[in-house]
Amino acid sequence: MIELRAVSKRFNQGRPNECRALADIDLRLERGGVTVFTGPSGSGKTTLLTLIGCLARPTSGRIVLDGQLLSNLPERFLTEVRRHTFGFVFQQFNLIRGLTVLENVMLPAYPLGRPHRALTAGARALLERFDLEPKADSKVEWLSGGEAQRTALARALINDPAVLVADEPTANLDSRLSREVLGLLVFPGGVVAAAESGRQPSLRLSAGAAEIRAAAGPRAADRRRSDGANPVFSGPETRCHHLVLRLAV
Amino acid sequence: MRASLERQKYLIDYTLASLLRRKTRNLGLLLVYTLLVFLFASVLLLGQALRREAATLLQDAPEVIVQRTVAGRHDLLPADWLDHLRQIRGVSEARGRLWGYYYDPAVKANYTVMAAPERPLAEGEILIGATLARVRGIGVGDVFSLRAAGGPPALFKVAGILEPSSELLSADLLLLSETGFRALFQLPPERYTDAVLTVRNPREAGTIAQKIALSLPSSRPILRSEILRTYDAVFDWRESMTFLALGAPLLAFAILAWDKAAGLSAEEKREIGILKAIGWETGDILRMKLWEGALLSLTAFLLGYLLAWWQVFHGGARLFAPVLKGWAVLYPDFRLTPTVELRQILVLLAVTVAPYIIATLVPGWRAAIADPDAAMRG
Repeated sequence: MIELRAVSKRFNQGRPNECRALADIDLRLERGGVTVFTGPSGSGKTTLLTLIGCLARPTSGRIVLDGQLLSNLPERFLTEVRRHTFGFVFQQFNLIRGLTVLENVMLPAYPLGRPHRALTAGARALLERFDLEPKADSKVEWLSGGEAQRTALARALINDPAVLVADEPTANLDSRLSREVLGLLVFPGGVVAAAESGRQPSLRLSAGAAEIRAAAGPRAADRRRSDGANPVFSGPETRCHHLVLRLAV
Repeated sequence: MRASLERQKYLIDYTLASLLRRKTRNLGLLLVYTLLVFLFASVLLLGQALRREAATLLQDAPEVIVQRTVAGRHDLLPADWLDHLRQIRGVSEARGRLWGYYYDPAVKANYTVMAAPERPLAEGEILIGATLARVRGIGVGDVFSLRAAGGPPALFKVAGILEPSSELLSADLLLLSETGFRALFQLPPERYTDAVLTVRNPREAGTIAQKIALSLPSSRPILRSEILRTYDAVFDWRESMTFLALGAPLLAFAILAWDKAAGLSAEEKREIGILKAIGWETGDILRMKLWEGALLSLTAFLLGYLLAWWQVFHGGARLFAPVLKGWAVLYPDFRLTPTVELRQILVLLAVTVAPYIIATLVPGWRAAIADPDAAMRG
């Protein structure tokens, strides 16, 4: 379970261009579900995902993972948590150019020192699962958008993470590819925190996923915390669908 | 342990792929660094080899040389000094030498002329150094003409060419009989250029020199160790001058290399952010950067050092020979004995490899300690 308690995030603190991206966020994400953050551009979805995924630290507040306080952990331990608990699918794919699809997928496992044969077999199994095996030895810059996104998805799963975090995973894809990728995001036994800008009209939520809609961007930071039930996103305008929904297209 | 080895293998794999992805930049760097090491190593290897060569040759040199000085300048030594020197305790042999210089306007070079009483040379015969024979284009049986001190030319028949193995000393050497030498320079009999002594116990050479200086006040005893020290000082000085002359381009190369190594491109920073975001520790990034710096600079070091080695010991040291070897106009054409000195290699490593590795580590570390969320934002 991931829990955010009164979490705030400010950028450029103490400078004239200081910006409050998030303020007083209380949120609880249970294991085994699918959570979707939706909201307009600039509403803090990506910031929220970076905090959940330990890619950044909150300016204030606490983040707790399965009872362990993460926000105060030294960087080394935080990396350990990030490596074993989270898999990331970035909006821009963030694949390493010049490397092959297989190498990109194996990359997160390099620091673990797993035997090469086992690691390669695991990576190939993932590529098989995502229908990318024929592209295993292709350089990633030769891939189509959908293939690149599927490669990013395979890479996110190589260390068998408990939580898959996907930031606008369909933002750069057409509707057919969006359907394809969203179909793959059904991750058995894990939490998918997928940020969607809500620009895809075809996206519907169905049983199995919780949608949390972040309203009105940084202004949400100034709103009072709601004491609503789990999961809660701050502000009276926040629409919390307490639905255990499954993401579907 | 196995996991740790596997991890290092993965990191090296990734680093190699990463170096290959920036082929042009890294090849440029490799070239600059190889050149830098090559220049440094050439000067060091040549200087070291020349010092060693001089030391080896001087092993057979006399322990003590005695000269006579008049008004502080070298003067001819009377033959009766030899008897006096032989009577000093510890001296087993004292022998007078005849040698001097001869300027040949034809090749604009000074020859070293010596009397060689140990060689069976007739008055009109001469032995010449291999370099001199090459430059003048003469061989055994030819006539060699020198202008005598009295004015008219003296003609000598070339009786032989000195061994090329001794060319460091004999490049510009002419050997004559004692009578031939005296006739050429019109030297009075019973006068020598200097005297060489053989001592029973080389460790007492210093004491014997003190005794000579006391008993013959106008004498100047010169010890072999002093000559060696002088050679060392001369080569050190030449080496330093060469380094100074090379200083500006070396510095320019170093700045270029530092700049290339130290400045991370936006793409590299982004890559480091991605690696952190997908679970690499700061330590993993640093290890990767360490491998990157080490692979590039050690390859450059190896290439540069081997090239310098080849240039100095097999290519005739053409690049720096005029500066470091240049004690005569006729450069001897000799092969230096290849040597490796650990201290020298360590100095070279410290000067070339260490700064580069630091230059790659520091910016990598800076990028690696930042939050990886920038990568998430694309």
